[in-house]
Amino acid sequence: MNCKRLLALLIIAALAGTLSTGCWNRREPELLGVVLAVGFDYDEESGSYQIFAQLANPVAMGGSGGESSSGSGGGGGEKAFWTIEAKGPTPFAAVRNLIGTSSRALFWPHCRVLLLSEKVARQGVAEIFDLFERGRQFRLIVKPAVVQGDLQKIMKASFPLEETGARGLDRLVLTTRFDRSIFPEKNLNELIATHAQTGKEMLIGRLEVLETADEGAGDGGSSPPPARLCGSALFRGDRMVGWASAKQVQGWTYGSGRVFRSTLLVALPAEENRHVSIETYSHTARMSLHGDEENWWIEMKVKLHGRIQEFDGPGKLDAENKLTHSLERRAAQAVRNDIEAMFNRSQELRADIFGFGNLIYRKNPQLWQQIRSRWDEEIFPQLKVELTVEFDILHTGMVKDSLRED
Amino acid sequence: MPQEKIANRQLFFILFMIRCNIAVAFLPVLTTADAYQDAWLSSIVQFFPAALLLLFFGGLGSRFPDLTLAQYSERLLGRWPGKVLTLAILWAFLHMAAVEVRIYADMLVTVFLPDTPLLFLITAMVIVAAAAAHSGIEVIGRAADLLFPIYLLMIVGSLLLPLPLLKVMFYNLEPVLARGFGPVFRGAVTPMAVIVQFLTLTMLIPSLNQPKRGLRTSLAALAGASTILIFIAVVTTAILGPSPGARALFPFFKMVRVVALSEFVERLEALSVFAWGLGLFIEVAAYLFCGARGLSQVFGLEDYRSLILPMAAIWITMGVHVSQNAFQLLTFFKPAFFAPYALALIVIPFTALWAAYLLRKFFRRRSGEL
Amino acid sequence: MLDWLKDRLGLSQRTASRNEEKDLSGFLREAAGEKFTGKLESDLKKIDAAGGSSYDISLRRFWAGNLPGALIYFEGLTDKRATEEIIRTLVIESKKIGVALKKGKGLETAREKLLTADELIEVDNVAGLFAELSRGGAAVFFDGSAGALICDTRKPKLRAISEPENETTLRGPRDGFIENLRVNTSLIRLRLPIPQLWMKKMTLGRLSNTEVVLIYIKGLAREKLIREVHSRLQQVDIDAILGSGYLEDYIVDSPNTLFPLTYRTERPDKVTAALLEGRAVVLVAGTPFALIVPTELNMLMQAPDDYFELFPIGVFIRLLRYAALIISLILPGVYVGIVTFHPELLPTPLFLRIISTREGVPFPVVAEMLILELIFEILREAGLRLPPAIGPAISIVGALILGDAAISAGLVSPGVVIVVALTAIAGFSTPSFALSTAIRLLRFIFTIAGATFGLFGVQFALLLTVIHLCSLRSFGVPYLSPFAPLILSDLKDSLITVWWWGMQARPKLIGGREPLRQPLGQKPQPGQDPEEDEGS
Repeated sequence: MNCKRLLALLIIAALAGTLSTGCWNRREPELLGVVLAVGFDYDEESGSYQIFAQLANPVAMGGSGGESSSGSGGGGGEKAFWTIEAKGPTPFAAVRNLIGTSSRALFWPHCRVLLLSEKVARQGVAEIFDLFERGRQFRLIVKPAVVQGDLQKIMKASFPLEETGARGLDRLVLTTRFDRSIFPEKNLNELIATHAQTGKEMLIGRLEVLETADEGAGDGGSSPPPARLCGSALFRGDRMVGWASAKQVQGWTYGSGRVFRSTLLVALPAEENRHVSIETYSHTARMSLHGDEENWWIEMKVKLHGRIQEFDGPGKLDAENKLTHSLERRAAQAVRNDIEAMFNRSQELRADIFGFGNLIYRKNPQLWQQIRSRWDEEIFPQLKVELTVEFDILHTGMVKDSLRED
Repeated sequence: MPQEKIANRQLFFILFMIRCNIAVAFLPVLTTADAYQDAWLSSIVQFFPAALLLLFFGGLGSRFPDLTLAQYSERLLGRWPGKVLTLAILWAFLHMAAVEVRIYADMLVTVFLPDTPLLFLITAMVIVAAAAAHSGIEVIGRAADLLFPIYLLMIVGSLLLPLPLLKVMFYNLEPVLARGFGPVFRGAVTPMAVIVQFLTLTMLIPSLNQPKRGLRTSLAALAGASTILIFIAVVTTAILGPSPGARALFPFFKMVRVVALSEFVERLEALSVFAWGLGLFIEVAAYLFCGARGLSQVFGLEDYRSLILPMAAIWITMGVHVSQNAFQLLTFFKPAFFAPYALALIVIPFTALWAAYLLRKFFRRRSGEL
Repeated sequence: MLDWLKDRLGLSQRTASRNEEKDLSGFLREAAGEKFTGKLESDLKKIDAAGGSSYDISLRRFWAGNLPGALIYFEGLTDKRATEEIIRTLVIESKKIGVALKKGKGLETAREKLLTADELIEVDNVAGLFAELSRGGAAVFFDGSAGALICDTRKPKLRAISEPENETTLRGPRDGFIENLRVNTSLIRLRLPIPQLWMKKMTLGRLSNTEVVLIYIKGLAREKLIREVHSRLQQVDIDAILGSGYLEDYIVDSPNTLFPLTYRTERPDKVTAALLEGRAVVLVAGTPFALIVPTELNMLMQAPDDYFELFPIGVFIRLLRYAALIISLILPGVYVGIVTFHPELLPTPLFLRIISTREGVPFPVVAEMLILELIFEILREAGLRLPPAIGPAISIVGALILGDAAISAGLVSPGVVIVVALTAIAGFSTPSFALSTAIRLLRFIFTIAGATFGLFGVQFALLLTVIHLCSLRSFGVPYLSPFAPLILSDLKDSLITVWWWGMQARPKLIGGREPLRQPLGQKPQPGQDPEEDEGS
């Protein structure tokens, strides 16, 4: 009994102790400056990182005020975010140097967008990735993009329909992912996993800053978009080696099985200057390694299903006929062209973003050991891949034939 | 006072959580050696030597279903050697509990509460466990009954959530066995040696409803926890990638942290931390109960309860000072260090006990014949 | 005459002086020891002295033959017609009684003659007399007979049987217990017309002499349980029992808990259901609340409607109720913990919204939460004590004016108001008021724990609660069964419910003597097609 009382006393003491002194980590939420997006740039002359952080501005976000809340996101009144910047010899030093410019303690877990300038990407991103992997406030679910253009401009730009610029960028990535496969959407965790894999290189999407970025905050009806997501940056190791176009990225998504939906333009067999739009909606892609250690080859099989989205040509779509077969062949060829475009680009830059090396490493580790040292310089640039693309048009939409009567 | 009893089912839950918690904490198959993408194979491999060790030290218990280790070691080896041996085993409880509390507190300090002193976190955890141990093994058993479904649900939930991401990440599990079985075995060493946790069984057997089936129950717990371990290893390695996974201090936690299915289904790491906390509570309570009970039997005290508080104090101190920094803990669980340590704690005492037991049996039969 | 007066005065003076020295227990002892002598006048004096010539004691003298007799009763407790009837009978039969009295058998004869009265008891001391009179009896005295004959003349003052206000149902029976013990037992007896429904009467309370009835089904309830309840009741030594709550404090296993270890109910159907599971029920005279023992947490979460609704609806309601219980326990703590310690766990838009509503609020989140919770508790208490006519005014002032003004003045943030309101509503969905009170108190502890350690603190508090609940027992039955210890067959009536034909077994730890409620395999099958019958 006595013992029990002592125990109870101890518990009370512990609770009391924590009450009086235990507010170690308590922070009232309104004292936090919530970072929504972060951008890194690199200054070669001074060898220092420059960081831009976009903080949420809760006052302008409405809720407490009432009147001030309406329309504060886009035009008029205060902006719902605030961008601050600092410099430092390492990414973390740059982060530290932000402190002192912000009246509120920086709070990073809600940072959802990581922008890298072309300079910093070419200089190497390993340090930044390590910061995100190691730091307790950073999260690997952040979405990275390499910025082509002025980083500062985009960090300060606002999106007409969104409260904050960061939210705009975040939504931009989500939407783009679903409707056109022109941007490789990967979160930081996946990139780090790719980076850590043998024989596979990173591909980070490109954010193109439009010239009109600084007009973004103009009045609602006429403001042009500040940026566009398309294309990507190819990396070798942790350094960027070059850009790929939207079409090439589409090739990559076809080849790596990541298409949600994408649109193909196929010329009509009868009239070469008219096009049919075909939307792909389901697809599989498989790479496989064949042969033995002496004589091996890689096959890539892509199979797509599509539906006709727009058809304004002669011919009937009411039965399986010559036209449909030829459309399927042409669509397959279009996909093939895209994949080959990306493949050629990657060979050109010697960045194995499809992960052929990784395929060999996974399927035949002994072979990989033999060719590993020669892979980047000799084998990969000369690599031939047997590519088969199958395309099936499964639906014609809500109608069969076109409006034309001929 | 009638002896408090727990059902074998409750023992199963307790041991399951004890075993599973190690995987939730730092996934030794992945982090302690170089198994990398073969970590899931290590999770299968570790089961067999672990089960053998369990049979080795648990088998004696089913020959003395009414006695704890502290009692039958005295009976077999004589008074003082028996006491010394028991103290060695009790040290294992103390040390393992301290280490595991420390890892949990380290995680909290690293991720959630960086400014909170370790001492407070460890104290809170040990005090809760002490309160449970003070209420007796029945209460621990019931708490296990109550918490186990929640625990399992949270772990299975955190394993199911990343499933949509798994499709594109499976390449992280290849190549299988590229470097032969060496890394697989190396990865299995620490998890195998962690069976030292199951020494609690030797103290709990007399409290069971069916002490004869205690060994079978604990084997089932080992098998069940190993199954979960396989899934944790597969999902964690696939999502994080072999080398980022092996680099992580708390791989399972890190894995749950990167799950982001949509703008709202993300940031679910509280699940894994909470599961870890529940498991740790049961674990430390069981250690504390076994330790206090054993110690009271060594000293010939009637009630173990008076020992709980002083022991809890020692536990707390131990938890704080068990390592000076993060590196010491990491070194501790390296196979090269941990395996000899754990094996010594199991093999030496129990070889002595078995030898004494067999000799006695042999001589008794002899004298019986004569 | 004067002498008599003097004597009387002197006596009363003496008694007065004697009375001033005596305390209550002295009086009681004296009353119990004071036997009737058989001399009417002195006996009446004794009664008068002991009762302090109380206003409500009625004395009517009559002559039985040539011997004086008296009838004593309390005005208001007795039926006027019954007392008249007694006197009339006695007067008519006075001769025979007079004869018998001379032989010293007056009371026996009177008893034979007074057949019209229900219950006839003889008492021989003042204390016994008062106890019987207080129950509505009338005492007949004859000069020469040492003792009084008590006739039952009670005029029951009953409240109508009405639906219990605290435990309403949609589809259940609408009767509830009242303050009268007999009516209450009859309500149970009506539902279980079997001889094995045993009711053991006890009289507890030194001054109140309250009747307490222990009810159980012989052969279904465990003997050990009945013995235990019985002995715990017997040990109660209290001056008065004015409600079943008094008893409850005496008979529970552990006083150091917030959680109710007995189930209080006003519903006879609930009581009958408990009896059928093998539990024991304690009814106390003068209160409509029955105590059901043993009680588990699970039982406190069952509401009658669960059983009257279709099975899937019952399951849904039950799960909802458990969810509400957990919400009302931890939500404020979790909110404070997450918002002030782990905002990284919130989805970004939600967190930004919380910040923006907190902009300019002068208090920390914890203070806000505790203050609002406290205000809510005050409002609730005030509403409870007010007459129903003014009740709504409190809710208007409290909810509308106070809440709205506080938010628009920027003193509290809407998030906290929502959390407090949600918690309160969730708390109301607990069927047992005692349980929801316990949860209300614990909620404050959880809030403080969440404010000091964040979610880790909530976990700390939760684990302590779990340990506490796991170590509780109610009459030997673990409080958390069937969850801990896990009893799979009993889970059918815990988080979920099943069809009645599926609930074959009684709770294992309570109704284990006769484990099966009903035969297996009663799942309804579609009957034969009537048309087919005609055809064949």
